[in-house]
Amino acid sequence: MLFNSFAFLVFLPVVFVLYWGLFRRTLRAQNLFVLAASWFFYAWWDWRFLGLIFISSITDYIIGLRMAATENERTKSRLMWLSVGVSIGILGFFKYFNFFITEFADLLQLLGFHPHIHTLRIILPVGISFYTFQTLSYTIDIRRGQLRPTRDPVAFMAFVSFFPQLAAGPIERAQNLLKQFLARREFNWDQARDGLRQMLWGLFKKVVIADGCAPIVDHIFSLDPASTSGITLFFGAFFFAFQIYGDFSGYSDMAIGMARLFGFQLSRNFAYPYFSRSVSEFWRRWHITLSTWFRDYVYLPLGGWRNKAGRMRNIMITFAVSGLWHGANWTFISWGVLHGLFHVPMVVRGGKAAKDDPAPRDLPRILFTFLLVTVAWVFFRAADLGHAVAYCKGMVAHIAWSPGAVLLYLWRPEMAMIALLVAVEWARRTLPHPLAGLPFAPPARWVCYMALVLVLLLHVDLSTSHEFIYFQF
Amino acid sequence: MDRRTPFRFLGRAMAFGALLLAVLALVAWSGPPVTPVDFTAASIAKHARARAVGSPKVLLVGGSNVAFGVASGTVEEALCMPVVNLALHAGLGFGYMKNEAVRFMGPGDLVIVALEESNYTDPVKDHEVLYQMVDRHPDALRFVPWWDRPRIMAGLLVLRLQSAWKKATGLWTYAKGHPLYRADGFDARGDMVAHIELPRPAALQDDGLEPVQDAVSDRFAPLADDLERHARAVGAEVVYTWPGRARSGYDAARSAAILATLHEQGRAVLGRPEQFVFPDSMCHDTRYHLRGEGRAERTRRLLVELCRARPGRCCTTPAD
Repeated sequence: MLFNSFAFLVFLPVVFVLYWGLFRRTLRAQNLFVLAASWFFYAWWDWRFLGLIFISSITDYIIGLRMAATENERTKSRLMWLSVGVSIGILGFFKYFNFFITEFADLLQLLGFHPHIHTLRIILPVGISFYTFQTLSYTIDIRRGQLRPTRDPVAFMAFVSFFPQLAAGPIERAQNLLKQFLARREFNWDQARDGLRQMLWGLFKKVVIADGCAPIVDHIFSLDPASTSGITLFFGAFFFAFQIYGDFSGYSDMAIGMARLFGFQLSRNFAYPYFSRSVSEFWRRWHITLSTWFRDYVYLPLGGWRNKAGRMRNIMITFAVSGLWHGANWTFISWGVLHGLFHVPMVVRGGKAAKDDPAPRDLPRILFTFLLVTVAWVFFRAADLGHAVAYCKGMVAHIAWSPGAVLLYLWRPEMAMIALLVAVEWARRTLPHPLAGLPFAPPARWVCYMALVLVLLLHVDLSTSHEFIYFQF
Repeated sequence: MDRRTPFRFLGRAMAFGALLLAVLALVAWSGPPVTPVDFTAASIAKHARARAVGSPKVLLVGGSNVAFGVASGTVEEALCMPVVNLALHAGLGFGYMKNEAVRFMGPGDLVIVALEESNYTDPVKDHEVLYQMVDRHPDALRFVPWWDRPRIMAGLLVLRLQSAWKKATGLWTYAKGHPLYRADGFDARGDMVAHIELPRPAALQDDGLEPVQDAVSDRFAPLADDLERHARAVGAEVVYTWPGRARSGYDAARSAAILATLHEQGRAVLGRPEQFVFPDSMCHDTRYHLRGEGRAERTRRLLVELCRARPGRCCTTPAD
């Protein structure tokens, strides 16, 4: 069920009414209802996916308890690796089986063999990469002694399949979200109101920005880069940068806002990433819950951040794995590696990402970082590695200055919406989301929301279903 | 007592929703239709004819391949029964078409179904033409499943808002109506005839078939069974046949898979799909829209197959 669908428009108020009306009395009732609603939400895509999320949840729930029950460190480690094996095994089969099989066949062919290898018709279950990482961190944290396992299976399964963040994150840690499932939630008017505002802003980013940019991006990326002007290719990458930002951060805003309606606080996932002054700052602001996951469970355990060479190696490994997490394709791996390479100057200089809020004087650095990130997005969006390289070459080789072409793209209505997004987010960049605490009287605020909804409705495309890009990961 | 309860909160949100709905309703009431193209309004006359002619009659069901590519007058002469061509657009989906046919079928009727391949793959559609249909012909909402009607109504409000904006900003095309896709382009029996006199466009639209995993969806059989159950109940008969289409868009394997499934399900099928494939030059603007010669030939082949399978239905036998 998509957040931007009519079915969800019915689902959400019904769940809200039942949750606060019939199931608010006890913690058990609240959790059972959240679990039922989440499974219903997930089964809307394909009921067969439920089996997978159930296996994933119950395995890690039992392993967590068994780890706590033993004092033997070796048994604990074995149990943790069992959990890692099951989770990565499921993820690997559904996401990477065909990729590795075809790459293996290509390798054998290079070596002179002619294998007859068959790939399987595997459907990638929605959200598998997200909830697998969530359950993985649970058992690893128990092994590290940072977390005590829960004895409540309903709370644990609700934590894994919580519907606002099930399909595309934020990737929550048990320390944050599971803890909230262990205490009865009370309705908080201010949080719920702010949650609705955040949802509205997320929906605006999805429908107006992401879906608005999508046709331009699809068109430009379908052209032959060798015979397309550099300006056109550049704008293709530019619009994709905003498409993916609107799509993914829009989803995250909706998820976080929605969770607040039910008394939950999810982790922040985006913090105005295109206002970053360096690529490392970008990764502090983009898909924060994934970045911190890789930091805590891949980069830090690799351990070699004490010297520059070790640090660089670990950054490269982490980013390459992060690319692979996005999909079984060399384009994603290259995208990750490229981001790793962008960190080289910072590692060599020994600098750190800025933590204060960006200011107007930072504009040149912001623009330069945006340019680097946009070039990397080409690899993320391209059909294959050859296409990505040809696209980048085309951007540089055919970059003949053409004010007419630039004006053509700047004059597009989608550009006006992007300008609106950038202006509003810049003005409100110190807040968790731009509609938080609007400094107007209530009637003016309602006019503001109404205007936003009407703009949104003017952009809704009812002829096609616009899935979220990150659902495929 | 705390007045900031979840239900009070929901009340506030609903008040906002009601205000929004009022704005949308005002725009919908005072604004233009969702599109200046009135093609779907042809459904009003088709339904009026279906109600007026009585039974027995022939009901032609399908997408635009039937609307554009069957000469109902010839069918009428061969079967000595009035014909109502209910077909308009494949985007309405087989679910909608089935409900429409059920509504109008009576004793002794012959229901000829010629679906585009997409209606086997995806029999219940979510196409914008559904909104356009309800916009021009509100009574058509009854052919949409009850649980889907609120969605269509809400979508209609949104589309009306968008068309008002387009009109205000001069983005409406075909302000004086489309040269081909217009309600008055149909004849009395419900056949589209406007294209027969129009010059043929230079190239066919690229409406080739998308590759699919399953040629026939699991959702097809229940709908087809329902159609046949209703037909049996009123003493009507349902037969399936093939869309007339251009050679360049013909997918033999997919059609063969559909034929095999129809046979497996025990449906009455007239002819084989390859019999209804025509040179591209016989089509008008899309691969399903046969022009004069192609339309006449498709109708003849349909009648040959029908009279062979159901000789009692035909009062004149077309030349083989």
